[in-house]
Amino acid sequence: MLDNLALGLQTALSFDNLLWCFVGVFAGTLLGVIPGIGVLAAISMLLPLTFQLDATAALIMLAGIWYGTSYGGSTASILLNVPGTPSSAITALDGYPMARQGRAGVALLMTTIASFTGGSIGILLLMGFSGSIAQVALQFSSAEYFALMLLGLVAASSMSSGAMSKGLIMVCLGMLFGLVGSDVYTGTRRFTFGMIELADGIALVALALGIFGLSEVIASIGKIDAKDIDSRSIGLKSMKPTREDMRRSWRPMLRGAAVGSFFGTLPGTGPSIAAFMSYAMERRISKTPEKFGTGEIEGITGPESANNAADQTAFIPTLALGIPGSATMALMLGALMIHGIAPGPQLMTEQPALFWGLVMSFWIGNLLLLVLNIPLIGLWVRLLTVPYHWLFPAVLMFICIGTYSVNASGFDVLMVAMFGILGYALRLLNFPLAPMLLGFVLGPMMEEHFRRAMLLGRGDPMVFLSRPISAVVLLLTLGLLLLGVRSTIQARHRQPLTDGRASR
Amino acid sequence: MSVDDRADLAAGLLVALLGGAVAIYAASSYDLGTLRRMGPGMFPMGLGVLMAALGLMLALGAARRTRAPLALARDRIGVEFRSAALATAGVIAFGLLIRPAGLILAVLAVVIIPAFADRKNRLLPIMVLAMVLTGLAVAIFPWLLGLPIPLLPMGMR
Repeated sequence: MLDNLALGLQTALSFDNLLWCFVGVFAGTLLGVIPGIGVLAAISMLLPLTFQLDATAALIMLAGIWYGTSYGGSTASILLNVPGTPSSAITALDGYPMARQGRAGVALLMTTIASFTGGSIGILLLMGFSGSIAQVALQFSSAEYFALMLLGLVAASSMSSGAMSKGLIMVCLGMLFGLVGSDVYTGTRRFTFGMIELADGIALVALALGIFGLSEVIASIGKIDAKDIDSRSIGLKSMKPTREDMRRSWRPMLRGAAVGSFFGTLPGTGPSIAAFMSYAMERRISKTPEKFGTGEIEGITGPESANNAADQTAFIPTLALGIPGSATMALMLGALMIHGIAPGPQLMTEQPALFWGLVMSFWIGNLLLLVLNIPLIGLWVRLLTVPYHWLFPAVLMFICIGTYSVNASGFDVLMVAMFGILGYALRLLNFPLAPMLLGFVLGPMMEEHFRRAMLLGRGDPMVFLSRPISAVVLLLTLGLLLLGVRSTIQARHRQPLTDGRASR
Repeated sequence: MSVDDRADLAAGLLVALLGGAVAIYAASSYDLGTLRRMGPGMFPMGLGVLMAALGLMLALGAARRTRAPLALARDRIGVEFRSAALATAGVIAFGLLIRPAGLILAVLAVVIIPAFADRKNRLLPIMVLAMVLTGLAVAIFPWLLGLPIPLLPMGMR
């Protein structure tokens, strides 16, 4: 363990990795602050850049973007009442009232501290549990992997807002796009329709930037206004929390971290649900629940700790099993595979420098964020006042150049346009987009495991039920499906409460 | 009855159709193999059948709630045709221009065309923005990151 920590620290502190960690958290905060660019769009936009790096630096940077957006997202929530990312939407409920009362500085500082606390606890759990989970997973065969991936996909589609059947349809559509290209066993070109450019499959970057980048830009044009912000309330002086603030915050932070760590590990749930659960919990525990929504500090420190803890623990299944529980984690896994590293339980033993370097970089990244956020808050705030109608052409430019740079292929850029239109249409029809990306990444892996399991089982599908772990996982999946069907029937006579763009 | 239900009905039928087409195409063009030794067609065919079933489920669920299935819902879902058309056109222009015409012209296209999607944008600021961004793109990608992207059109390199 100590050897591993030393190795990790050594890797994370190398000049290159430190630099890319900084670039990641900086870019993450930047893109998190700007409303209209979600975390998935942010990561996809910077994904092409990481192809020039080695795998460790690439993952360190991508992870930095991921938890960096959580820090940045809360800034927009508090100051503008417009969540920069879905996971910090809950923070606006009490953070914005605090800003209106002239306590924006305090709110920003406390969310930063809460984020750091939650993040740190999440990292500790990641360090403690990944090893033993990977140990167990070493005995998994294709049947177990197929079952676990199926569970992840079903969980992701039932947890996303809206009808479960829509989530499942999106998963299937994603898998279908994932199957395009040469079949691994026979080399048969599938669904390429004679286009040579598709022989290697659809580029992950093109799909991700189309459905999350371009379609988000289309949906946001003309909808986001830059607002004036009272800059006096966010100076360094105004940040000093009272003793009362601190006293009321530490318990919600710890509770939030626990809630967040739990929901971060589960497939399908993630920081958004964690933050929501933590808020509900704090309100229930509070002696003055009626005051929530008017600027209660517990209402921001709990959820902000929860979403950051979830950000970190989401890496447990991704790194220990090689199975991503959310679309964001699927992107991380995609980045790993592009660097030629096979995800799975052997990752920790075969690539110790990568695993422990990444984990240690989380500490460094969280520390950097602490430093970045407190003195630089003025910069982030000024960024919020850049009008979106100047920002979005720049975003489109980065999308195009980024996509082109991966394969030097104009065709990939055209694919972005196609997926952008498709994504926008699906958005209008209230289909969740995140399950599609998850299906795209997991689809080919699932097919491979399915075919291998059937081969080992001599063509008998019972192979999935005769092995205990895979049988239990499949049973859980079935339970989730039934639960989804039941809630659909119950919801039939009720109006939907959410606007259908949560979940990441 | 609601717009959402009618949209779900149409979308569900479309998905069912796509799923069916995928299943038939996979079964007819690729080797299915056996259950034990699956060919490249088996998994896509299964996926197509599953999609068709899910699409039908969505459509049937919506149809039970909808009384006027044939009425079009298009006028009530807020489609931003202008944004969609111009933003996509910009990206397509970039994709077509980058190889033959080089980075500078491609960036100008992807900045200027979509900018007109937002009515708040005026010609002069957009031209300034386009030039600033072009400078930024040239500075970051070919120079700073050293990516081999040609700057100028074919004949002028």
